[in-house]
Amino acid sequence: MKIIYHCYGRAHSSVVAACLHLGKLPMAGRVKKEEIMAIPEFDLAQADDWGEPYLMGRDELANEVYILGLNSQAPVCVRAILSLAGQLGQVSQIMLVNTLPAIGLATRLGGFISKKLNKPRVGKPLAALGILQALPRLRRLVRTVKTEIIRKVQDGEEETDYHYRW
Amino acid sequence: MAPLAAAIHLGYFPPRVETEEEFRFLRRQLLPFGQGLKTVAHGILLPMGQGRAGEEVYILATGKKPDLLLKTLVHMLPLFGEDPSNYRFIDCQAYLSRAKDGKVQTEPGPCGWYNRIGAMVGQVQRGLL
Repeated sequence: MKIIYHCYGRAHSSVVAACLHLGKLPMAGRVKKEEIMAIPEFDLAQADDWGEPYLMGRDELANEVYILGLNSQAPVCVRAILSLAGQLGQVSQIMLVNTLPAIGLATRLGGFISKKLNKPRVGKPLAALGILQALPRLRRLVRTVKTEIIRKVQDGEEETDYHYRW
Repeated sequence: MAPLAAAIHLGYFPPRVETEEEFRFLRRQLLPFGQGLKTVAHGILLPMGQGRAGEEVYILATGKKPDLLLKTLVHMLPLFGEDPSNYRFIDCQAYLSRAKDGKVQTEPGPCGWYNRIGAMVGQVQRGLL
């Protein structure tokens, strides 16, 4: 299965969610701002990277974990991806997870300053701080995704299309 | 525009009209999705039929900003084990805009508009786009 965490720019919330999923960040306990900022993909993607899924790694069940930036066009793009998957008979092979609702104003503002105003030295730490505040929500999201994957494997259920919008 | 292009591609409609009367007759036909699609249907691939060479023809409403949507679809294809070179995403609006800018030779009036779409479909069918 392919798990795609998607957000606005593929630079902050989706990166951290994918890292949590892959065990690169702990699912419990304290995380330092420096650890967030040290993630190679954090605050990295540019506008040119939007629409291109980026493979972050494989989880313990060999599911491929991707991140994807969909700008403000997530609803239409998600419909298109699921529609394409449906036409190809592969809806069961894909799970799209929107990470944007899990983050707050600080990350959005940090991302804006770093990417739109091109001031990463100011924006990146602010975005990381926002991620720390949103970490419990991101962890809950990833936990739910993992539960769903396990449930799906156990049930052998293969006809549901997944799109989470927390 | 896309439903019309699909209808021409599939041979339901002719690639050219010579008179306005002919054009008006075609416009009166109840072309599926000819009235446009609501926003909630944007992004959904709608299968229209199979062309002469066995190619599958779909229409896709993209909204006002098609670039990211089309880019996303193209980049998702390898994830599904598909070769993007087997797919053609034709931006009808962009083609007609090129015609409007004078980059493509055009004839005036509604027949001209129809025939531009017919010409675009012809190019697609010949593998020129």
